[in-house]
Amino acid sequence: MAFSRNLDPRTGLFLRWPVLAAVLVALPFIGLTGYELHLLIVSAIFVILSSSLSLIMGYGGLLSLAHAAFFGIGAYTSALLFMNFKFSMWVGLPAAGIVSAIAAICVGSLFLKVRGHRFVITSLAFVEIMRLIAVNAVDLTRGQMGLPGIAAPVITIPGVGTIDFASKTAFYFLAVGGAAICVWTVARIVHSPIGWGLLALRENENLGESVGVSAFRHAMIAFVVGAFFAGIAGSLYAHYTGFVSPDLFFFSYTVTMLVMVVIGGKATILGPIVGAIAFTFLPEYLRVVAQYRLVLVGVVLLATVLAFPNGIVELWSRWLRPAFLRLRSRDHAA
Amino acid sequence: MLLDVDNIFMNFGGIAALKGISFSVPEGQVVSVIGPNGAGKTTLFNIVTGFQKPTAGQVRFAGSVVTGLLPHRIAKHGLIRTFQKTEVFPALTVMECVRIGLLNNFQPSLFSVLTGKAEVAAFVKNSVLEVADILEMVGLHSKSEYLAQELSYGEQRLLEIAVGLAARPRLLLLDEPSSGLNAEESSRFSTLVRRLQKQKITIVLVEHNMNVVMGVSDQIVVVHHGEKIAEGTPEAVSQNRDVIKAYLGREWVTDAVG
Ligand SMILES: Nc1ncnc2c1ncn2[C@@H]1O[C@H](COP(=O)(O)OP(=O)(O)OP(=O)(O)O)[C@@H](O)[C@H]1O
Ligand SMILES: [Mg+2]
Repeated sequence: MAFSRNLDPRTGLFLRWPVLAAVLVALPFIGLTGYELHLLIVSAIFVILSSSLSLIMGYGGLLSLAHAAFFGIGAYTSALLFMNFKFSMWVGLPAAGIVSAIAAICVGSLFLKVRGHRFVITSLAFVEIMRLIAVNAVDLTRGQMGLPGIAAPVITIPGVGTIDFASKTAFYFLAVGGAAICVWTVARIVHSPIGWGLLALRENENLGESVGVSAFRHAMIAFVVGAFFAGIAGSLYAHYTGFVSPDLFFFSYTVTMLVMVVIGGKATILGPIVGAIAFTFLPEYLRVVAQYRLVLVGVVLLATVLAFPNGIVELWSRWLRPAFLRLRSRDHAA
Repeated sequence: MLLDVDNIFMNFGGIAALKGISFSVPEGQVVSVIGPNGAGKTTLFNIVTGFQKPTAGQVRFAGSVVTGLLPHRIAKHGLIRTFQKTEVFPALTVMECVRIGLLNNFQPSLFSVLTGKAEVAAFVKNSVLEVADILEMVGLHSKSEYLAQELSYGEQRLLEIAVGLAARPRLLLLDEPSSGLNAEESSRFSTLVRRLQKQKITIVLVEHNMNVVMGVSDQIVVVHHGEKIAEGTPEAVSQNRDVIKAYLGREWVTDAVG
């Protein structure tokens, strides 16, 4: 019984949404360094990636290694629209999401008919194909040289003034806003009848089919919504860093996203958020130990997996929350 | 006739598992399909519910041909089955498992979920009561917060039937539902079948437990080596020579009837 609560720790979250929102709004103004703000922006982009991947992998049970492909497709869509047509991010961002989603519909119609290893391998092959296209379609993508100089957007509000998102503080709000919309959407889906269908797909596809739950339909919804947000994350990344290259399709990105989801807690809303933040900050702060950094990251990873098989959020749902409830009931009794 | 199975053939490579089986199920009846191990009963269920495509033949349900449709499409017609090897959603709670069965009746679009359509909220709200009713009926109401994998084997069998009932079947195909049940569970199961009968749910039952079969069936179809060798009321079938021969030992027949 305890385990089922771990699957959905939303009941265990006593941090109320308005409080969380207030904290997120205040964060850039409490005197963080530019570097810390940068890490927060990167975290927010990774929250989009990990939450959307968790929809596919945690809830739908589809181990997709293609998520980096949709991230890259989004980044290139935004970059190419900017380089060739001078379209700002206000066009590039939705376009990136839509192009990634359309790509997901196309490849999904092929991949999502297969399961297990075959799905994993085909999804991996898809990332590799996208990388090879980015490397070899030199006329379009400039190959390994990448596309530099993608500007952050500017917005002019009459009577208020102009906000330039090249400022880290301004871009922070953009990235956090994107992450909030993504998390909200994923939460909405998984707590709806579509979410029940996704769990059916993950837990027992045949039993689901026998009571009218189309495995293909649910896999497709998760895959396409996930790809849409990966594309959005790609666009944010492109306009934030100003540079895209075929390296976006590297396997290491895929692994990073997977680690964030699994370490955080894969079929939870909170888990991928915690995972994304932890695994953005941790490797950076371990830079002090120089060459031992990656070894330490590996050790932390291993320790977490062993201690919390269902992710870091288990720390909350299994240990801290019961302790908290015990304390509170003792207070009431006294 | 609610279900018509019309001259079904099924070959697996060289093995002919079904050799031209035909039978019909009238609305509201309990029809049992019996036969020795390997007779082809499960294969027949798989074909009727779209999990396997027959080599030849046709399945009609409530007048429309369903052969060749995908399982979830056939389920939408109200043709629901359970599995011989117990199937549940292991890491979900009993309540969550049964809720999935309700999806046979209503599946919102992504758009209506994201825009928060009232019909979706109403469905979710109703689902709580509906699931509670079904769990009450199969006797699992006290277990609704348990994980499916935490249940005993017999409870899991009942849970699987509950999932099927949530799908609002017109016809329920049960593949050896009482195998592995203890005496108490198995009598609870017989009671359940009679209750379903009263609710006008047609049932096709594959069952080795002859007490159950003789107790609940209106009609019995006997299958042997992929062929129908007898068909009729429990009394008629239990006295049929071919049937007795097919089962080698005759004791169980006389036991069950006598
Ligand atoms: N997928 C398959 N591939 C090859 N042969 C199969 C397959 N499924 C079933 N068979 C064969 O078809 C025959 C009928 O099997 P089926 O499972 O339908 O029998 P059954 O009547 O349900 O038996 P039981 O009472 O043991 O459940 C058997 O000889 C079996 O070995
Ligand atoms: Mg069988």
